[in-house]
Amino acid sequence: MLRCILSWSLPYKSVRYFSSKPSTSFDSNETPVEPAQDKPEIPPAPTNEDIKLDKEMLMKLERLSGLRFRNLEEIENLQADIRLANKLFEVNTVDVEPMYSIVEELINCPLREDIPEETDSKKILMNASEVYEDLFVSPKPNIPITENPVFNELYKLDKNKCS
Amino acid sequence: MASAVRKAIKRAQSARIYNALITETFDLAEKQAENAVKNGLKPFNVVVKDCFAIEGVRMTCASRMLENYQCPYTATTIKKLLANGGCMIGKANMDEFAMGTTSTNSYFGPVKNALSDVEKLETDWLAAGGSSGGCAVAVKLGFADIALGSDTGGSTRNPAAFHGIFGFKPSYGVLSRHGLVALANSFDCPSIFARTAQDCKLYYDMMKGRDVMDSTSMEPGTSDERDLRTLTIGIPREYHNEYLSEDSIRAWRAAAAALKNYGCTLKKVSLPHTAYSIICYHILAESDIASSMARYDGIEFGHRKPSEVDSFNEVISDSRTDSLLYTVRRRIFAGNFYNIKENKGKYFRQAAKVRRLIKEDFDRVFKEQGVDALLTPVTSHSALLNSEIQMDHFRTRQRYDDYFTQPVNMGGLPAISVPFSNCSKGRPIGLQIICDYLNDDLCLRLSDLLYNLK
Repeated sequence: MLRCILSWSLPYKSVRYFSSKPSTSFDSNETPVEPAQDKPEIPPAPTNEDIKLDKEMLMKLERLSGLRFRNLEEIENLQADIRLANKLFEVNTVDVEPMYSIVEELINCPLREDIPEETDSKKILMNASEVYEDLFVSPKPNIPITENPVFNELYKLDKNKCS
Repeated sequence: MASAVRKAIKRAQSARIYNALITETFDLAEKQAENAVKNGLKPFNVVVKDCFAIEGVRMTCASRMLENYQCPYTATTIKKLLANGGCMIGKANMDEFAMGTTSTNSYFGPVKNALSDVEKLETDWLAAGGSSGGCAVAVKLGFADIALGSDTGGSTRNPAAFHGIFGFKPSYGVLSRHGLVALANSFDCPSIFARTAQDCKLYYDMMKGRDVMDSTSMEPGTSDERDLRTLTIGIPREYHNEYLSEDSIRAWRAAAAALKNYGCTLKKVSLPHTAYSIICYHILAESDIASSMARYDGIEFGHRKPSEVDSFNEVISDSRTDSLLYTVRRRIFAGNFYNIKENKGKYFRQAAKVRRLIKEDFDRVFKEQGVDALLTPVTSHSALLNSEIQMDHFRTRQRYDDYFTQPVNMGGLPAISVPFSNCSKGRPIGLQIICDYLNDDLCLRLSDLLYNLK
C-alpha cells in the first residue's frame, strides 16, 4: 500500500515524466509507456520565508564551509539548489522512520578489543607543508574572517529572489 | 607472463592523449609482475581511480588540494588485488573528489572518451562519463584488465555505459571502503570495470568480504544457482522519463524482448518515489560532503596557500577556495546550509525519511511482487561531445545524468551496466540490471546472459 502522495509532474522545468508518443509504446506484455492514470493530491510545499540568504547567513556559511563565495553567481546557484531541495517537502513522510544507512539492521555496531598499532611519525608528518619539531603548525585561531566584498553587491540579487 | 604488463604499459603510453591517468606507476607494475610470477600467480593489469590509497604513491582525487599527497597506507581492496597478482599500471583521472558525471572537473584536465575521433581530439571529444572516466578508458583500451572505480550515484555505471564495457556496483558494504576517500559514506561503493561479466565476478570474488578496518562492511550474500528462465524481470514505469533518447528507449525495449524470448517473465512495476530520488540524494550526499571535505584544511596535509595574514580561518578559507573546483565548493556550501542550526535539521530528516520510502519501493517490488531483477536504462542518451556539454542547455542537465543510477545507491543495491547496443551515431548504450540487496551473484549472472543475448 502506497504510503506517500506524490505529484506526477514536478513543477520545476515543467518536466513531464512520460512520453506521449505512441510509436514507442511497448506491447502490453512488455514495458509501459502510458502515463499514470491516477492524479493524487499534492500537499502544499512549505514556505521558507524564515530562511533568507542574507549577509549574515552567507557569512555564517563561509565560516562553516571554510570557503569564500567568489562572485554573485555562486550565491545565486546556491539559492537555486535550495529551491530545488525544498521540493522534497512535497513528499508526505508522516510516520516514516528516517533511514541513515542501509546496513542499520544488519550490522549492530560490532565491538572488539583495542589493538595497539605502531605509528610512524614520519609518515604522519610527511604531507604537512609546515612542520616544527614534529608538530603541525597552525596560524592563530579565533580571528574572524574579513568580510567578503562580494556581499556589497547582494542587492543585485533581490530582483531574482524567489519566494 | 610479465610481457602482459609490458604490453599494457605500451598501450597506456599511446593512450596519453585521452588523459586517463594522473599518475603512471609503470615501475611498480613491473616489480609487482615479477613478484607475482615468483609466487606462482598470473599477473593481471589494474588501474585504480585516484581516490584509492596505495602506499608510497601519490593520490590527488584530481584536485589541487592533494596535488602532492603521498599515501601512508594501502586500501584493503587493492591489497587483495595485489595478493592475487594485480599489477598497478596507474592512478586514473576523474572528476574532482568524485563529484561529477563527465570527468571534466579535474585539476589535471578532462578525460576524453576512448571512442572519441582521434583527428579532432585537441578541440573536441566525447565525454568519458564520470566520475570514474579514466578507469573506463583504461579497460576499453586494454591497459587494464580490471579498473577499480567508485560509485556513489552512478560514477562507475555511467562511464562504463559510455564506453561499451561492464560497470559493476556491488551491494553496499561488500567491498571494503578502507582506503577509499569518502564522498558520501552511506552511498560509496568500490566498483569494478571489466570487459566481461566473468571478469567482474573474478575480481569481485578476490576483493569481497568483511574488513575489520571498515565498520560498515559486510560479508557477501550467497550464490544464486537458479535457472535464469524462471526469473521475473521488472520494468519500472517511472524510469521512462522525458529525457530518454529514442535510441535508449529502443535499446531498453530490445533488451526486455531478448529476456522475454529467452524465457524470463516480464512485469510492469512501479517505484513511485523515483522522481524525488535525485533531490533526496543531493541533500544526503551534500550533507555528508560538507563533513567529508572539512578535513582538507591544508594544515596536516593538502594545499596551503602562503599568507601574510596569521589567521587560521583566513588561511584555510583561502587555501580551500584556491584549490577546490567549483562543483566541490558548491556542494559544501549547500550541505552546510541544509544542516545549519537555523534549519533545525529538517532537510536531512526529510531526506532520510524519503530514503526509507525509496528503499521500501524496492523492497515491495523484490520481496512482495516476486521480481528478481529490474531492467532499466543507465543514462538518458549515449555520450555527448564536450562542445555539446558546454552549451548552457546541457549544463543544467548534469543533474539528470544520475537519474537512473542514484536510486540504486539510496537502497545500497547491487547494479551493473551491461554494454548492449549502439545509438544511431554509433556510440555505446548500456542497460542496467538491479537486484535485491546482497544478490550480487544473480546480478552478475544475469548481466552475462543479457550480454550474450544481444
